[in-house]
Amino acid sequence: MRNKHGHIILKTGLIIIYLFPFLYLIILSVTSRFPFPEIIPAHLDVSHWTSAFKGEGDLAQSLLVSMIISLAVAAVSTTFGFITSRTFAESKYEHQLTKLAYLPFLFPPVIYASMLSHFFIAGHVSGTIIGVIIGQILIAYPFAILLLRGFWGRTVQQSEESAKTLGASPVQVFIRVVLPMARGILFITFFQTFLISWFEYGLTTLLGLGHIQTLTLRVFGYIQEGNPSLAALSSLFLFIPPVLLLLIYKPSLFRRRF
Amino acid sequence: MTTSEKKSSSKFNIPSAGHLFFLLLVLLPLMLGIGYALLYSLGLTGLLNHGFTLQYWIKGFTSSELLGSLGFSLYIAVFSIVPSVFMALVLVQAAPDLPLRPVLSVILYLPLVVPAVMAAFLIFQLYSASGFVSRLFYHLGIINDLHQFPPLVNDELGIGILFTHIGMATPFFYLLFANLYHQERVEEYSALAATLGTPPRQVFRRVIAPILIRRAQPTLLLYLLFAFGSYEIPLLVGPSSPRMLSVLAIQKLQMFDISQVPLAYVINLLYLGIVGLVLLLRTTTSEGDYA
Repeated sequence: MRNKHGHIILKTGLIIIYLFPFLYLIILSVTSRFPFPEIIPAHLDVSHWTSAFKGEGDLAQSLLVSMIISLAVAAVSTTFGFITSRTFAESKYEHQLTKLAYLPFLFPPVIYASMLSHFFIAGHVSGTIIGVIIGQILIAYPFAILLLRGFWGRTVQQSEESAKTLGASPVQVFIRVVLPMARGILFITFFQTFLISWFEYGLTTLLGLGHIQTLTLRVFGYIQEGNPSLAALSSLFLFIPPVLLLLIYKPSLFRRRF
Repeated sequence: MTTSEKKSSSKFNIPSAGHLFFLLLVLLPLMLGIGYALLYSLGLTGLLNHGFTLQYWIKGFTSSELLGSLGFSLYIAVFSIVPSVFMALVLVQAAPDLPLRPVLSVILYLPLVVPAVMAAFLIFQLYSASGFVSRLFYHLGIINDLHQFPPLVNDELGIGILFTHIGMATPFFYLLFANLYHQERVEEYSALAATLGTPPRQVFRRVIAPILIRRAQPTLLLYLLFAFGSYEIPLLVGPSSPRMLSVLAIQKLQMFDISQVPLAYVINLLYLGIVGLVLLLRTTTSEGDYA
C-alpha cells in the first residue's frame, strides 16, 4: 500500500474511524433532542455549553472538583516520587525496590480501592475529597517513582559533585543544579499523574462513596440518567488535558522513536 | 550510580524520607489491603467474623457465576488482543511510516489519550440500537426499525466491550510495532525474504509477525492483563450477565446482602493470584527482554 492511492484510502479510513466519533460527540453536545432516526439533529441547543462556561450547574462544579483533586494528586505524587526515586537510585537494592513499586499495578484501581475501603472508613476519610486524593496518590505515587527513577544518572551525580566542590551548600545544589536539570521530567511526571487522577473512575466511586462527583463520575451519571448531550459535553471537557499533553509532547515522541 | 557511589551517598537523609513515603504509600496499603481481604474471605474479620472457615472460597470456586465471570474476562482479554494485534501487524506491513506523517500521527495518537469512560460512551453512542450506525442503516434501507438492529452493546457476547478495547488497542499496537519495525530492521529482513522469492503473505507470517510479536511480548501481556481487569468499559457497554471479574467483585461488595462481601474478597484475591501467576511464569520463562 505504499502507492499514492493506497495511502489515500488508508488515510481516509483512519480519519473516518478515529476522527468521526469526536465530531459525533460535538454534535451530541449541542443538541437536547436527537430522536431516532435523525442523522443530524434538527434542533441545535448550546445552552449546556453556555451554562458550563458561565460556571453554572453540576458540570462546572465537577470540573472544579476534578481540577482540585488532580492538581493535589499530581503535586504530592510528583514531589514524593522525586524524593523516593532519589532514595531508590542511592540504594543497593534499587532493582528490588523498583519491582516493589510495580505491585500496586497488579490490581485494577477499583479492586485495590475495594480492599482498602475499610481503612478509609475507619480513618473517617471515606466520602471526602481528602480520602479520594489519598486513594489516588496510592496509584499515582508509585507511577511517579517509576517515571522519575531514570533521572538520577551519572550526569546528575557529576553535576552535583562539581557544584559541591565549588562550595555550594546542599540546598543550593538542589535548587540551582538538580531542579533545573529535572524540570522536564518533573513536568512530564506532573502531567502524567494529573491524567491518572483526571481519568480515575472506579477508585473514586468507591472511596468517594458517590459524594465526590468528579468529571468522570459525572459522565457516568449523565449516561445513566439518559442525558447523552451533557455526557458528551463532560466527555469533551475530560478530553482537553490529554489532548494538550499530546500536542506538547508529540514532536519529542517522534524525535525519540524514529 | 555505581555501588561505591551508592554507599558513599548514604549519609544523605533523603533516603530515610523516601523509604518512609514508600512504606506508607505503597507497602503498608498493599499489606493492609491483601491482609484484610484474606482475613475477610476466611471469616476472621468483618461483619461475618464467626471464626476460620473456607466456605467462602469453596462457594467461590463452585459458583457458576464466578467461574462464568472468570471465563468471560479471559474471553474478553484474548479476543481484544488477538484482532488488535493482527490489524496492527497488517497495517505495519502495509504502511510502517504513518507515524512520520503529521496529520496521521495525530490521528493515531488520539485514541491513546482517550479515557476509558469516554471510549465506552462513544461506542455506546455509535453502536447501540438508537446509535449512529443504526440510524445510518435505517437511512440506507437496511433496517426499517431500530429493533431490527442487532444488539452490539450490553450484549451477551460482549461485542461492545470488544469494540471499545479493539478501537483503543489497535493504534497503540500499531505505534509499538511501527517503532519495533524500524528498530529491529524488519524491512531489511522482509526485503531479503522477498528477494529469495517468498510471497508477501509468507513474509508476513514467517518474518514480520514472529519478530514483532516476540519483541512486543511483555507489552502484549500487560495489555492482556489490563483488558482482563477492566472495569469502566464493561460497566458501560458490557452485559448484565456474565459480568467481568472486576464488575462482579464490586457489585458483590456493594450488595445489601452482606453474605456476598466475603465472595467479593475471594474474587479480588483470585484476580491477584491469576495476575501474579501469569507474571511469575513470564519472569521465570524469559530473559526480561522488554520492548
